[in-house]
Amino acid sequence: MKITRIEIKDFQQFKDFTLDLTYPAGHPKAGEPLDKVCFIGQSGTGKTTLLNVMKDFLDAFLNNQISTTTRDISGNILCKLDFIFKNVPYNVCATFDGGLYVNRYIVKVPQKIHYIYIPAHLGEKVYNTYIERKDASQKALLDIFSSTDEKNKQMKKQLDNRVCYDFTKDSFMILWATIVYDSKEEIYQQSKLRGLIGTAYLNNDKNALEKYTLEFENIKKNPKSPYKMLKKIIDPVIKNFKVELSDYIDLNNSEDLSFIKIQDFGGNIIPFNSWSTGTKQIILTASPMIKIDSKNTVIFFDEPESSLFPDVQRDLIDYYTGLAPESQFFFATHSPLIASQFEPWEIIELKFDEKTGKVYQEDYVKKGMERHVDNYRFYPKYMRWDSILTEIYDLDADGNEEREQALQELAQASADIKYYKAQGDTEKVANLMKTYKALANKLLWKINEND
Amino acid sequence: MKTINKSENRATAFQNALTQHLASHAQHPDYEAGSFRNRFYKDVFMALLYCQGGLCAYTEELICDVETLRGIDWQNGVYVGEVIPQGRDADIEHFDSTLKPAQGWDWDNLFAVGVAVNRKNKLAKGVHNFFKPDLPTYNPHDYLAYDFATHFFVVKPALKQNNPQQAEQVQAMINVLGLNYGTTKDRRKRYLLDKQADIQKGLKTYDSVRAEIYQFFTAFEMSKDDLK
Repeated sequence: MKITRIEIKDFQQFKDFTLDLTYPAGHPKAGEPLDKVCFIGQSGTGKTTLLNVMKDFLDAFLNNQISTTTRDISGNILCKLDFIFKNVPYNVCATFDGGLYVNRYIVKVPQKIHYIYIPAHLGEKVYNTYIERKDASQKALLDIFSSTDEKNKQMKKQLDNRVCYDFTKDSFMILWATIVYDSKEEIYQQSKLRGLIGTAYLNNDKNALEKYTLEFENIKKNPKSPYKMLKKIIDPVIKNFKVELSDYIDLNNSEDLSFIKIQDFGGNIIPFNSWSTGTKQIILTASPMIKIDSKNTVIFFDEPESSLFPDVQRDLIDYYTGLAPESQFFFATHSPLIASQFEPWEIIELKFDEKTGKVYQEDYVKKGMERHVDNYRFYPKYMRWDSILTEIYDLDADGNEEREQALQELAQASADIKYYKAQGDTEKVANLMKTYKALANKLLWKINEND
Repeated sequence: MKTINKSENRATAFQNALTQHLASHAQHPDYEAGSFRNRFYKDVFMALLYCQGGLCAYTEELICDVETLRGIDWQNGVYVGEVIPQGRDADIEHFDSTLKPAQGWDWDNLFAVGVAVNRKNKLAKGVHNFFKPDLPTYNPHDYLAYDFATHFFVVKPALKQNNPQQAEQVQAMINVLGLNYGTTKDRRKRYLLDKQADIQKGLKTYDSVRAEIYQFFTAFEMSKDDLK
């Protein structure tokens, strides 16, 4: 399921606003929906609003807030959304009447649409609910392991039916509950093997020791449980922060069940309140990816860069899209490093019209030219970070005012040197050279983009 | 920033209406809002761009499709064609901003410029009148030099040596008019490097490139030795 177009008639800062979310001409996938999209723009231009509008549309399908009529409501339409599901194009429109009301008017709207909505600063939100210990889902999770089979079945059914995660309102603990529940069998198996290995060791039974160790290692190498999958996808990133997910969950230990555990390289458990914000960001945002049907899921992700150092940010988009390769991603970001990981046709830059205060999409295609892969004004993947700041983020300088001033002085010194050299004034030239070199050293000899 | 000839004002309907207005009023009509602005802003804007060859009056960056300036889209002194630069690309700018409240529609004080220069850089900063680009006495080669390493406009070294006071004023105007304004400077640099590559790789001669360039004329002229 992938969205191909959004049209907003009049909603908040958007008026007669349309986004084409397909690949441009000249691309092997020309006309097909974009696999990933990046919204950038000044605060208040509506990046998060756009994520919400799309999410609310999908929510309306899933909650059956869909009109059974095909009446023409064009007079009241506020938004239109086109998408493709199993090669069938859909075109739906919506009015807002308190909540979102979606009116379908082509064919039956598919129900197997999934989405994940990850708000900005998810780590802090989860931390707050965890610390306050108010989370009902967390309690329910503990009940799974201490309750009757019938109750367990009901809980499992409830968890399995969940196809969408909206972390603006859903508890992260629900997700954690499903991960633990689905991992139970493998965890039991590993726990059992650990016991058998211990016994074999004590009995000096080399054959048994070898057999159980091999089985244990096989599970470790090829995990099938969501928890082990989680460890496999998260550890490579959080190793940058010198931590990793704990190897084991003890199903008899309520603390182990209550939340994900991480440890340092010495095996010391790090309590949740001591996790770095970057660690929280990676663990909490990557976790939902292992629970979804990648093919039918749209992922809305606000500020993926939150709390992450530049070296981690620069590979982040490949990381997330690699976790759900068939999903469609919508990112909203302020980070030039994130923006640098997109093709120009995948970036939607939102800007305020100074006169109307409304928002428009900055056109990246050269003036008067066709929307074709060869006709873009810039290609972020090929640009230096500072060029991304000046060209895409419209920063009016490549450094602070002090750098601009030093560059101006250096340029003047350069012209003066030429002039006095032509006049044969060697003393003047020598003095100017000192000035020139002093400035150039301060500028690290990075005088222009070519240096 | 090359010399601009504004002697032909195609917005004659505007000019007549302003003359009529001034016959009975001491001040110009409100520049910021009102019916005069609604009626004539577009005409003045396009008439200025016509005189400026579609370039920003200060940075010489192209801000208007040259096709739009063919001059056929005028009827009875009113512009009837499509306005190609949108409000987000270019503005009308008052060279001397102190005249804006009382003489907001003074043709001599108006220029069409890129929005970055107008809205982020120049604002209401003070100006030195000798640097006004439509003065008959104005010639950029008297005041400016171009440093090809940094792609900055600088004060002409000879002026610095002979007239330090005016040299300081020129430096102030380089800053006020945004001649080295970040993104404009970068685009100018790319434009010139593209031309330099054509010349140095032997694909074109300096003169043939000179005949085909459509923006950044002054920087091009001042970089002759570096381009060859």
